[in-house]
Amino acid sequence: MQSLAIEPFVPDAGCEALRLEVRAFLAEALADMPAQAKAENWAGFDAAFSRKLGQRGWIGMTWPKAYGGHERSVLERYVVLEELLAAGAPVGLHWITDRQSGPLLLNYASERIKRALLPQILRGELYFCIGMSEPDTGSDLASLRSRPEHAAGGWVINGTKLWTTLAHHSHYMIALLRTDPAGEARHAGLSQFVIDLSLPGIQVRPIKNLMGKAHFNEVVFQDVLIPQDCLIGHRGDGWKQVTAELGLERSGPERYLSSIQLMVEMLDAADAGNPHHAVTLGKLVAEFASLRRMSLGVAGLLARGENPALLASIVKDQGALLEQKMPEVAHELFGMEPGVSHSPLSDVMAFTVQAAPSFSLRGGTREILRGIIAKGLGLR
Amino acid sequence: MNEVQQMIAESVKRMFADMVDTRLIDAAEAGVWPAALWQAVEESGFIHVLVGQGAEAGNGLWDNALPVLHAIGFYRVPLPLSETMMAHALLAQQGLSAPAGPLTVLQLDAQPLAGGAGWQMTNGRLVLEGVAQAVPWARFARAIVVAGLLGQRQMIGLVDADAPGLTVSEGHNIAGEARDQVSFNQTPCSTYVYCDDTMSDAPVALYGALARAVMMAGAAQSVLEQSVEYANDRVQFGRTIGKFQAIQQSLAVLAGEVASAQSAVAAASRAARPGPQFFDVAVAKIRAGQAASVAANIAHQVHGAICFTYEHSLHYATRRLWSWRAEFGSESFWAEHLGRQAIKAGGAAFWRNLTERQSMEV
Repeated sequence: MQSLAIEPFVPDAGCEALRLEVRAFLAEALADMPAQAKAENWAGFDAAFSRKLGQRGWIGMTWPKAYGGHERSVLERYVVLEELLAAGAPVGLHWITDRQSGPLLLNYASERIKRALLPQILRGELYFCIGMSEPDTGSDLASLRSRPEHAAGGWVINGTKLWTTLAHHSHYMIALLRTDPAGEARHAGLSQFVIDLSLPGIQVRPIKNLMGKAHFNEVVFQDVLIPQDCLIGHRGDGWKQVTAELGLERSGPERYLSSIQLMVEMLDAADAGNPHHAVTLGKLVAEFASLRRMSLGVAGLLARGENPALLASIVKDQGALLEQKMPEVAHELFGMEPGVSHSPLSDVMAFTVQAAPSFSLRGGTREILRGIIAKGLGLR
Repeated sequence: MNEVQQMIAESVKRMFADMVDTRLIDAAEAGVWPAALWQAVEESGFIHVLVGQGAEAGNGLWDNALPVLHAIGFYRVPLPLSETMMAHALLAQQGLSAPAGPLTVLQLDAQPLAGGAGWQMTNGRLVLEGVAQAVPWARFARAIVVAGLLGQRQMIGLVDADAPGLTVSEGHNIAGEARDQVSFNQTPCSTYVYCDDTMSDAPVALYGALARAVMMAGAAQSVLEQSVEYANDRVQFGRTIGKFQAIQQSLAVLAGEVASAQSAVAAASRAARPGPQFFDVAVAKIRAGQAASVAANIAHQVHGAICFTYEHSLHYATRRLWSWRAEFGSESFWAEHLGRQAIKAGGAAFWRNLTERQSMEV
């Protein structure tokens, strides 16, 4: 069996200098941000803040200079990301774009599209959402039905995407669509497209989440005409492209830091002389420390050009467990009714306890992820 | 693993895979000293792996010890190998030479003689008094390396097994490993030294916790591998049970725990420059201990009734996990220290402290 040990990896001095620069920037930029807003972590968003990061060169950090990128290392990017998350910065609008959509365009999009879109992304002004699931599809993406048809001047799209995070604030969608029927391989016949959400025939309908807030959406396409080169990559290769994309992004710091503000508040509210507090929070300290090592270790492997798919999946699974444990621990230790007492702890708890169910759903459910891990272990 | 680690790992694997089988472990549990195995271990030189030389003393030693300690857990080696390794390291660090043969280690309580064992200076001699519980492999040890405070100062002492007033009463943990009660009655140390500043506080506790954490990671790896193999072989309802989602989901959780334990012990070993660091050792012992609990639980459930028999080999690893997670401080013991530190530092310092601590080693 392959070793599951993730070797410790320490960013170099240059990365640590960048870390301090990011920290100093955040201390000022987020000075007036209430704990409750920080609790939203990468689900929180603020266009002005995204533009500020763009100005700093902290979006598209690793992209080629030929397209306006900054050609910084994978690890420098990692350090910026973990600092943003640890500080609870409102990065939600550009997060997916920086992580997935931009790199996808760089790899596969036409020169026309790259020249048109990448500079705006880099400035923190252009946001993408990911159209994956559909009504009746859930986690089973092979059952996607939304179809593009060849037409004069490009493709005509009909269908519906569901659970599309922040589509109502996004300018473009990267959609996985069925170009051809599934063959023997259930995931054959899918292709990725980039779609301008301002085109006629598109309706974005926010779906209120359990907190009563609009975060994800239903997006309906009715005879939407898109240009020929909006097919990204190769026709029929959509599944392969999507899984490669997801595989690399499973182990990022956003997979274990979503609840960190609650840790901050618990440490402030706890009593060092109370052994129950100390033992319980001490275990969380150990889990944070261990997960940071693992997430950073996988980043180190990626930086060396390796593809640690199994380890990355494990980090995501372990990370979601920690993120979801946080509100349970807060309840056990402090037992305050969330959102009622108007202390920072209670306010942060109110968000985190309600957001926590999504941590093992977004980007693929826990069950799908564990199925992938099991295959990686050699279960036949 | 780096090249040196891989070389050591290959070498211990050749030795233990060949020599350690269930018959040998059963005999050891019945009290038989595995002399041939010990001789092979001594000749291999692994007992010196934690002893540094010259300017490099300290650096990278725990990295090199990791594959050895891991193999003790993975192959369930019934020997005081980790204890002897630690004893050599503690003595060498303070410039003392070690006697030949198997050795063990003992950390004295902060309060001398408070229901346990303690020491005091009597007529120019360092003399032990009291009863130490569950000293690993004491009946086989030629000497015990003792660490403790004398007044405010930390000392390392060596007490020979045949020293006057020393008696051993045999006991064992649930894995059948010797854990003996050692009584001291005005028992003198044959040699001792006040530690210099490079020695960490409660060094035996710290070294022991790291050693047990690595050993647990090894045992947990073996538990995972046995479980995956079993799930791929065992047929129920017309197919191998590994095809059932319920089993796959459980084994994925087990793999996550094993990966976390492996990664935590790798980090603590790397960070042990010059010696084990409190924070990283605490994290490793907690994380490996948590993994031990989950691993044993899931592995037994996946195996079903067969693994509740003595005949099936799973219990050799799981009984060790249940013992080792409590030795040299349980998860709660270490967590209380970590938690108290973190609470005192406050929420705003949490991330800053974590990134600083984890950026220190090369």
